[in-house]
Amino acid sequence: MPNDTGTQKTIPVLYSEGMREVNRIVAQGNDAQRKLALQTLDDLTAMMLAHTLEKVQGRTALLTGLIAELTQVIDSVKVQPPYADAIEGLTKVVDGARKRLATEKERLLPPEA
Amino acid sequence: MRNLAFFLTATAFAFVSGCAQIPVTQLSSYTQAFSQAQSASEQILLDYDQTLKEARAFLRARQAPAAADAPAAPYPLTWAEASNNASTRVPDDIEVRRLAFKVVADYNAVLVQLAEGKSVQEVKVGATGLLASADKFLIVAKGAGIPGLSSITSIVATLSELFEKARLREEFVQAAQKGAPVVQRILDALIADIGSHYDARAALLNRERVRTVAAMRSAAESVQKIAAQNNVAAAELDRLEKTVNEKLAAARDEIPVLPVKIGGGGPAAAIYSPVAQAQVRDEENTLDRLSKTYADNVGAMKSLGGALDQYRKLLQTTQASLKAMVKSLSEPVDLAANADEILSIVFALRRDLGELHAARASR
Repeated sequence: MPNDTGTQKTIPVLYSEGMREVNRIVAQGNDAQRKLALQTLDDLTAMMLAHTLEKVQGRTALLTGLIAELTQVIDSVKVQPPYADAIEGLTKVVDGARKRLATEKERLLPPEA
Repeated sequence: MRNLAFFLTATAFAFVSGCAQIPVTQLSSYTQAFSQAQSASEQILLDYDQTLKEARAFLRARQAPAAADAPAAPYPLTWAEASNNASTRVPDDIEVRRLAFKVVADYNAVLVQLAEGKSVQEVKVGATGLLASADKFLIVAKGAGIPGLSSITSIVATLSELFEKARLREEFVQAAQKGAPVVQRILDALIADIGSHYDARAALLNRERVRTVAAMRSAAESVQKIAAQNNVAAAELDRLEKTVNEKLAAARDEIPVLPVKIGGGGPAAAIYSPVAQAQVRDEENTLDRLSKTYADNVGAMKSLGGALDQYRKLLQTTQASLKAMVKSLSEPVDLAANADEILSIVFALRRDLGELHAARASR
């Protein structure tokens, strides 16, 4: 609904303006007028809630995307050094080689008389 | 050996002074601010969940009677309907918001892990452990270990510590540069959400409040009508007028017709029967209940408004802290502050190299 300047009124503005009129009738009108005002109250409430829920759902979709994006950043961070496993693996290889060499050397020693 | 000493010293100096330091103070401020916001969000999201459920229930109840009353089949009647239901299941709005907080908390935990640098000690232990294993292997193979092992171990420990610290710093900078803009956008969305939370709850409470005012006026008018139709004693009329106006006073800002007048029908009217008295008492009780409903309604909205305002401030503080932390990454390195660390490393390296040279020369 355009206002005097021709610009479109937003739903919150329409809601506020409508509610001012409803409040006036509920406070000062007779019983029949109050009944009509309460029907308008429900219409205005429904309009405002539907508008708000739409914004909430839009934000839910936005947050879903941002959550996925931040999860990717977390997954890309290397808290442990990439060479830690290599050092551990190499140490095991060297230890293994030492033990085998020690065993072979003992085997090759002449038996004690 | 002199060239090696120069190279190692220059490398240590470059690593310590050239890389950005992890801003642990700013990181701590940011993670604490976020933690407070996340704590506050728990109650806020509970109310938000309830608000959205009530809003949806209100809108569903206004659907066309035929659609609202039509009995639902226990299963979809066609495959198209069944597969449509599965693919169009909408995500729960509140669960997504809770997940947003959790993911940011996980991201912060990663930043803290990088800043704590526990991997530095693990790398040192791993590297010196490998050296020790190599020394033992040489003892078995050649009968003698690595000459100057303790000096080499010390140099390797120092360099591996430097390398790992530099790597952690670089990972932190990358994580902050990639993640901080996403976190800011999440916080922006959560701040914008506060407006929707307020609007939805205000619309529901406003409806309740206006209906309460309308019902209060109806109840007061009923008392006026019954009194006007009956021969009510003056003292009782005074009492009724006082009681009704006291109850209506809760909404005095919205009922400009106060005080209401209650007049009796006089001697010519019907006797004020027990039935009429019971009706008046019912209306008084209704007014009492509505007066409390009105006060609770106004109190609830003020309370929510205050809580949302505090919550907004916590989220904004978190945003400011995050911005400060990211900004501190691009500040120039204060060499004077790092001077002690640089000098310690340099002297330790020179000492170790001296000992290594001596150990090799003595063979």
